[in-house]
Amino acid sequence: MTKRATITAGSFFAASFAAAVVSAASVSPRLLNGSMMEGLMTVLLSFAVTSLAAVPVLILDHQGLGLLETVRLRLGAGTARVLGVLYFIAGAYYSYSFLVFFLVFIENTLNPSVPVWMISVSIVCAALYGAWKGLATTSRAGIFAAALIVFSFALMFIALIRQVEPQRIRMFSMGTWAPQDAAMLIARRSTMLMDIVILLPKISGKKVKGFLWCNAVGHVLSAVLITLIAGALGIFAVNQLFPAYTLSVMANLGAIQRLDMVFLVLWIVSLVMRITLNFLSGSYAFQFQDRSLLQKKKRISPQLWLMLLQAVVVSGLAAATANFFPLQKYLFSSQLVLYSTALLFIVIPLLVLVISWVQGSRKEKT
Amino acid sequence: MPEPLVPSLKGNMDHLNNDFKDCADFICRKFTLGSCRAVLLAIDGLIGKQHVSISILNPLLSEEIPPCSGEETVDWVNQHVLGAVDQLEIRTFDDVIDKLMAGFAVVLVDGSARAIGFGVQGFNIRSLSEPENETMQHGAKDGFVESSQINMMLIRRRMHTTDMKFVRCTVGTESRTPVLIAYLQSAADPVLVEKVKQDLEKCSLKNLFASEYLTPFLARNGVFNKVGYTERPDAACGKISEGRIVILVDGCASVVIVPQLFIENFQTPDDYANRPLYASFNRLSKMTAFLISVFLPGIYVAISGFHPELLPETLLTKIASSGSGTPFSIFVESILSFFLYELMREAGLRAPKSLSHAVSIVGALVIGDMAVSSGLMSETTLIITAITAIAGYVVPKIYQAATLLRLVFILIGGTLGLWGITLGGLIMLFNVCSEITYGIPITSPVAPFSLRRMRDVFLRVSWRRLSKQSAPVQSMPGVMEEGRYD
Repeated sequence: MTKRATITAGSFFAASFAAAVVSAASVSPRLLNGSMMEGLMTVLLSFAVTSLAAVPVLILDHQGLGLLETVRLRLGAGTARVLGVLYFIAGAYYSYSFLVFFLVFIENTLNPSVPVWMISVSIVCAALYGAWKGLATTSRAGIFAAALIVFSFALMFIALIRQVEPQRIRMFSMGTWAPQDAAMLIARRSTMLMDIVILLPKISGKKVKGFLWCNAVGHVLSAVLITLIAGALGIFAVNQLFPAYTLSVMANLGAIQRLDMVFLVLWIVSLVMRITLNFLSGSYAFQFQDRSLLQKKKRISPQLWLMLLQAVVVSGLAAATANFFPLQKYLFSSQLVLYSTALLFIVIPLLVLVISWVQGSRKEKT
Repeated sequence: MPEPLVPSLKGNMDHLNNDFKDCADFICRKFTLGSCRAVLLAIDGLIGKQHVSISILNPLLSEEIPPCSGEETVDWVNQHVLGAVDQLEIRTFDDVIDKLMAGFAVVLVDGSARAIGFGVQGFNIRSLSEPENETMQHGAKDGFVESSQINMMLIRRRMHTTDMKFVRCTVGTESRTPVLIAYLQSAADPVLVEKVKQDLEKCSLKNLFASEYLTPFLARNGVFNKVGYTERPDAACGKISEGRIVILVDGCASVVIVPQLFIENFQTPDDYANRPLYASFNRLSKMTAFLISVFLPGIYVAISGFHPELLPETLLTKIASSGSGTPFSIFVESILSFFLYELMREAGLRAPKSLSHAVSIVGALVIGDMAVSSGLMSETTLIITAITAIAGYVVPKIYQAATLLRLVFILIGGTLGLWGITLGGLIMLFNVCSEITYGIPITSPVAPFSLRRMRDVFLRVSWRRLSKQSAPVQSMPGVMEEGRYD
């Protein structure tokens, strides 16, 4: 008998939510464009686009097959393999981009007493451990991580709400609407789509409801954070590299003079969950490259080797480029994030759905 | 294939005498039953001698048995002489030995390949007293003892139903310890019962002297318990009614409960006797105490070493001034006080009772007071150690895991700071979430989450609501789809 743990939609999307918070934590003034209203509009737009982008994947899943399985059936094994490799690379790339952003933050703000490469390796090791334990474990851990994140946010909200002043919000509403920047933010946030594109067939339960809840709560948290940034920091936020962090430094709650460590804990938890889910999605996607990998029973599963490969590349590259701005400029390019997100999570699933419908209707006619 | 008894008394006795050679406690009383020679066998100390004389020997010897063959004599005794309530027929040497070891008296008759066993157990047992390790404010004051028969009775006295089953088996190739599998037929999953039976059959132990020996055969090793223990019959019955399996090991006062979920470490029988609000508060306190016992020293070391800016000025000044006169860093102090405390605890546990006061005095006065006054250790570190120690005892079921994790987090906190503790905490979380016991994730019903099963997790709802719906363990969310309990 095979062992299969049930992965419920609730726990999976809790993990996905916990992982999505990393985007909110890394919100930058460039994306806010000096305007709270623009920030909130961007969040709203992000919610709408992410929800719409998920529709093709959810429909494909409702038909009983995941995206890659549909591609294999409709477009052949070769295309499925190519796509599998693409998603594998995308998983590693997104992990890298979030990790390097965190390392840059650590370097610039905290001046850590341990070397950056050590932080990079430690974070990736924790994520690798979670990924090695599997999707069921990660999903279950996601519930606790999500609870911790919500609790931490609540703490920060309580601490900061007293410091919000309408005058500051007015000052922080002078920016102009820039759809390109908004699109950047959307691209950063929609990495949640990576989880559902690859991992959705592996879970059971109310997936649509789970996705909508997860997406909505994630965006509500982002909106609250932007409001707090605007209300508590005002125009001062525009000059901050990491306004969310500055906000946490300002927050104090009773005996705790500042909440920056709470914010840091929240960011690390979310980052590890993000990288863990990316490792899992990447390795599952790569298995479509060689189906025999799924059947072979070895002492160390091929999936672990794939995750190990991702881990080495991600931690190595992040540690190497965290202090090397010229290379970072190309690897951590917002344009690259935007176009890859649009292609992998919006265009390809939509195309596959259309092809699936067209081929299905042809078959019906014949 | 067990070797059968033979129709010759000499043949049977030669075999048994050989088995019991050099066994000073082996009793062999020869007598005549009608026209046949007979032998009464027993093990000294396991039987009630008075009971044997009154219930077996007197009726047998005073009865006028008609002259007949050995087989007919055995039939006649079985039908006409009631030696004991628990009277059975035995046909193999292995059964004879098993019954003798279980406190039976066995009568062998010449000419018969059958023996008669009489249940005349009469060994001394400890009186039923409240378990020292699980004292409760409310509820019953009796506890399990070393006899599995008495323990079985204690459960039966609380479960007046024929659904309450006790299945007997033997574990230990050398000790051949009797083990009872207790479950409620209407609540327990038959697949789970079968799996537990198989696990016990596969158990490769030579000797079983404590129920804890069974743990690795019932659950994979891990940081936290996946097998529960209790010395309280009321707690065991509560678990049985939730569909769990209780294993009673003869010679042990604690019984094994499978499967055990993580949340059960925070549940005590008192929770169900107290008012719901207070019980819920108590449970949340226990969870907080667990987190304190695991994380507090690590966080203290991390904050004082890497992130002092997090503390209020007055507190920071106090910590700095108390640590300024000591030769060690707070990290080293914390490790030292951790080991000192563990040493004292172990000494207090192992030392004879007459010496335990001396150990306490040495611990409290010499080490505690003198270490501070001589400037070897700061007061803050000792206070943190004391708070942690007290918090650790609030949840004794996971004391061992909490102690080991505490040391790990002190080491991480001292080397990597708070972000290291966060990563360590995440790895611990992944580890706990990966643990599965008999097909059920131990973090259930929190993760996977089920609101319907949360009535007795963080909060304990009233009995009115608890009794409306049963919550058997197999209905927990996240139970494996296929290969249940593998």
